[in-house]
Order: sequence, then structure tokens, then C-alpha cells
Amino acid sequence: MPTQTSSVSRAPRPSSLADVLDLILDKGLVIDAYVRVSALGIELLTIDARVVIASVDTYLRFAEAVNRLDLTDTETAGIQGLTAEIGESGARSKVRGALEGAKEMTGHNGHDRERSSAGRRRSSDS
Amino acid sequence: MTSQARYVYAVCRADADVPTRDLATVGPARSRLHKVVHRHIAAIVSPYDGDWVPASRANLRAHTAVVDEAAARGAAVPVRFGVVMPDEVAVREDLLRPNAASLSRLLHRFEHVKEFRLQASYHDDVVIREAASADRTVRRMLHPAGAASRSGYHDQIALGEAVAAAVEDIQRRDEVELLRHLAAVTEDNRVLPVDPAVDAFGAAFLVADRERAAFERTVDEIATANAKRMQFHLVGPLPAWDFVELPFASEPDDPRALRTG
Repeated sequence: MPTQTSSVSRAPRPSSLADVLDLILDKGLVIDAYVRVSALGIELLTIDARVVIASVDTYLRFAEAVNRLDLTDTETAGIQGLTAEIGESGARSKVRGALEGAKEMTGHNGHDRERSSAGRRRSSDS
Repeated sequence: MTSQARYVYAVCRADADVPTRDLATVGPARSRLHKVVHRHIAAIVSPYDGDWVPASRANLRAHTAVVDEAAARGAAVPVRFGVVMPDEVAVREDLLRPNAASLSRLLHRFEHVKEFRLQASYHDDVVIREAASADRTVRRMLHPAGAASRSGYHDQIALGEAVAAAVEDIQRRDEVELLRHLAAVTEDNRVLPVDPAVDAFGAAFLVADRERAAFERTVDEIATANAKRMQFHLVGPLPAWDFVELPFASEPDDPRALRTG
């Protein structure tokens, strides 16, 4: 199989403090009555890192970005072209076969989704 | 709290090895990691002397290192940072015994699997360009004759909102596609909150050890196919932090009640 140029960066562990905190202060088993964290400033940091509320500034930034684009060479392939491109690399049949083999498993995939309400707030605002 | 107190890192099988590497423990002084056993399960703990656990860099790092090491050695249920129980009796009676069945099920689930976190972000302007190209509302606002660029503050806000909504649609479609492609090589997933202004996608995946190569290969294929529009960041193997889910052992106001993030 030919070597593919990939744009995946890898790390064995989270590299940023925010990502570490997201794991160990926000996930995992917790016994409420026995939590003894003294974390001045930590709560704000995690909120800053995780919650982004759509704001006027964001909208203005989007507007500014779209206004300065030269739309004549717009590419619209998007991820919809993914299947075809993977197919070209010879992996299509493998992926399809694996998907068929995993039909039973896909039932629980995507359920229990964690979704930041703030992260989707924009859709209700717009 | 006296030195009878125990800081809790993770739950593992009773016959699992306690991390014996020269690991720092949470607390001002290095102490001994050991197990508190109840039947087939055990908590990995160390003595803790103090009323509170400062979320210092050293303590955060020590907690992470012990949980990582426990998960590298076998199935482990990570415990959130900062749990201190008054003594080993409490560890046994308030944590392990009332939740033994649920914890055993989780340990069984975490056998020979690891968590990976995959995050993707769009290259600069790519998603804006796609939004402008594909979304009818945005196109109408931009054309004809560059009306939006000449309009006032409120028109710019409206344009930005329309772009944001179109970007969100693209993110949603990308998310569906990415999850669909990765479903074949993963046991489970949890979609993570992302910054909608810059990120494309974020999810935690539970990956069986035997599927790890196939999972990483699929991530590479997805990244290669999307190299012009997204860059991907893959973190792991990690303990299964995002997949710790238990039923409540008792009423929520009961100290024995466990909850998860």
C-alpha cells in the first residue's frame, strides 16, 4: 500500500491544560460527598475552554471573512466526496465490508451524545 | 482529615497489579499506592493527609499518571480528580460494595479497549467559502453586486448569523459522515462539544485493541480525503474517561451515590 500523506497530528496524551482538565475534572467516576477539590480559578478556566457562546463579535467576524472571499474559485466538494476519494485509495470495499459487519454495533453509536447547549445556541438565535 | 484518609484514582479488578512504577501520588508528600479490595474489584488509592486537594499542576499530573498506568495494565474505571474518602472502610462500603455489579460490568466493557479523542478543525476560510457557496440565504445576502459589503452594521450581523448557521449545517453533515465512517472500527462514541467558530468535529471513541490499527488507518484515510479542508488531531490511547457511566447506587443525596460526567 502506498504511503499516504496524512494531515493527522498525533499525541498519546492531551497537550493543553484545558484538555487535561476537561478529562480529569469533568469526566470519570465521582462520589459527590467525597469530592475535596480546592480549585480556585479552575472552574472559570474550564468554562472558558469549553463553552463558546455565539456573539456579535463572532457574527461580525464571519461577515468580514465572507465579504473578503473571492468566491469565484469556491470549492464545494466537502466531505461528501469522502467516500469516493477513499474508494480511489482502494479502501472502499474494505470500509463497506466492515460497515456491513458492524451493523449491529452501529445501533448504539451516536446515542447518548454529549452536546454543549451553548455550542448549538447559535442555531436557535439565527 | 487524618492520614487514614484515602485519595482514590481508579477502580480495577482485584487481581490487577497496582501501578508499581515510581509514580508520584496526589498530595504534598509521596505516599504508597495500594489497592482496597472488595470481592472481585478494587480501588487504587494512596494515603492522603489534608482537608482539600489543591488542583495544582503536580496533583493533576500525578492523578493522570496513575490512572494512565492503571489503564495501561488492564481494565480501569477512572475516578474524577479530587475524591478523598475518610478511610478504607468508606472506600469499601461507600464506593465498592454498593456499586460492585455496575463497576464489574464497566470493567468488563473496558477490557482490551482504549479511548481515543479525535478532533478536527477547518483550514482557514475553507468552511466560510463552503458556506457562502452552498447556502442560499448567504448567497442571496452577498449578491447581487456585493450588497452586503456596502450595508450597515445590522446587515453585517445578519450576514454573519446566516454564515454561522450555514457553517453549523456543514459541521453537522461532516459529523454524521465522520461518525459513519468510524463506526465500523469503533465500539462506541461520544460527540464532544466543539468551538463552533473554529472547530469542525470532536468525539471520543472506544476502540478495541484488536481494531486499533484499522481505526488509525481509517482516520488516516479520512484525513487524507479531507486534507484540503480539515486538519485532524488524534489523542490516545487514553483511559476510557468519556465512557464511565453507571446507574445510581442509591438516592442522589446519599453519599454513596455515584455519578459520572
